[in-house]
Amino acid sequence: MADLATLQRQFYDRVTAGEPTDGLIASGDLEIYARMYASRLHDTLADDYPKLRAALGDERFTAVATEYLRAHPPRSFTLRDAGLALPEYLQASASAPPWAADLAALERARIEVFDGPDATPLTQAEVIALDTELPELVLSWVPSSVIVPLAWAVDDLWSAIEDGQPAFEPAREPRVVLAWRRDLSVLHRTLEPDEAQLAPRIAVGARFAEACDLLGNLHGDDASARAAELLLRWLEAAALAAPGEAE
Amino acid sequence: MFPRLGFGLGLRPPHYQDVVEGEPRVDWWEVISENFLVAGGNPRRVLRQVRERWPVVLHGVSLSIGSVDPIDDDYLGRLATLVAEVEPPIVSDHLCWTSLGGHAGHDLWPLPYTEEALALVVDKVGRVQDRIGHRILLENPSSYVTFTASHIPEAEFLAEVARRADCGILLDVNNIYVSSTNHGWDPAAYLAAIPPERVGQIHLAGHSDEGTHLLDTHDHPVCDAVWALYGEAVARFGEVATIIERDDHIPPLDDLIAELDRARQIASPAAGAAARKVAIGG
Repeated sequence: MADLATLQRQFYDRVTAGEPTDGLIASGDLEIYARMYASRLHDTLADDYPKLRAALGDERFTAVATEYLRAHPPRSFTLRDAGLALPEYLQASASAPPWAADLAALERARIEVFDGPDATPLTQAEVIALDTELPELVLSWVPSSVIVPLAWAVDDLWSAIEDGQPAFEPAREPRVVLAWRRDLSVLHRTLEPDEAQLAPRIAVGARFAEACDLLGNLHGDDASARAAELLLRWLEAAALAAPGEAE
Repeated sequence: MFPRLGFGLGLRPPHYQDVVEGEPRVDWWEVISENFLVAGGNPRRVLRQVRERWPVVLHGVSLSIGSVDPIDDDYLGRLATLVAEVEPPIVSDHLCWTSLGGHAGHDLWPLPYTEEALALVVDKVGRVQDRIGHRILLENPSSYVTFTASHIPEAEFLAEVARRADCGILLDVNNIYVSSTNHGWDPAAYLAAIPPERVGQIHLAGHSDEGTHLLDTHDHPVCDAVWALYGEAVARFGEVATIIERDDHIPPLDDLIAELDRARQIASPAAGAAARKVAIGG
């Protein structure tokens, strides 16, 4: 009689990979479990990557998902992580177009942001109150934020699908997107070039004076005005964390 | 031994707003533990708000108590943190395995009912209870196969786990009905094999008839046959904390509360005797 470890291995291989079994079950049908395993994981990927599914079409998305799940069977206790490695997998996959990894990365970032920790955003009043201490203010994105570097303009594709327009092949135009959570809403925005240079520094906490220095290299005499403009933009977006919220 | 919480529902996202903003006639709520093991977001906010007004019990699906894999320390640590935060009167998971070789199946896979499996489950329940500082309840699963290796009836296996590990039993009446129908078991004999003092909670749910088998889908109202079996269960186990689970085709909250009233009526000492006679007789 098979021991428990052998029995569970046979069951697992049958249910997840269709391997044959011999004398394992006395009654019933293992195919019921096989169908549930596959459908649950495919449904999860489809729920987590709706824009990628729309862009690829159902048939191609299903083929890609099947390949991915074979290469990356889930390891986490939560289904939320079943598609965690899909963006990375797509970078090396010949089954999907080259921009698919970027679109998946953007969708994944939005999931991470949605489940990320709550935080109190920095307010305009707090910044005004700093007065002459403003240069020492440490800028830090809210903890629920992700910087997404993209090689393709999949942010445009994402928006088109979101608006109910047909999918299209995005242009090869590198850019950086910031995704963050404002209260319970997940947002993302394509950063302007100077913002894109600042974003990684702010991610680890940068003094406002440091940000101004970098902008000075880019904009010369206009740097102060640009710094004020960007700070106001980030404050209005609730993208910066209040003091003490920075990780 | 276990708190008599009354009649509750599984808390699901479509009802979050009605629950938080309304006054639903529900005694307590059960949440799926895994949905609240992430850092933030709407689920955690809702959980905090609900916990301020009702008892909340934690029901897990990923403990994998029957797997030959070691217990996932990361998972257990997160669960322990959630238990400390929510202070649930009941913590439960399933008599099943859900992972192997570090891979997660995200399904409730059945165990062979053998002495080897019994010893493994008993050992792991002890470790879990020590780690989270809380007694757990194990739920009987719905199943679609039986193993050649099994030689202990499921109910006896579950009862023996509870005795040896000093844990409780979450009796899913729908699962008893589904598995009994699928495997030709006698549901009354199943109930008779369960020690009443170990039953801490009851689940009710709907299922789907797939023609060749019943499937535990939680997408229909509780059927009459399961209500009848529930009548037998409360006659044997008393007013055990009871919930209705609904995970698909989720109706308005008021519909589920109305369905819960049927459970109240069947379980009520005054009305229950007559209702049970009708249900069992029917």
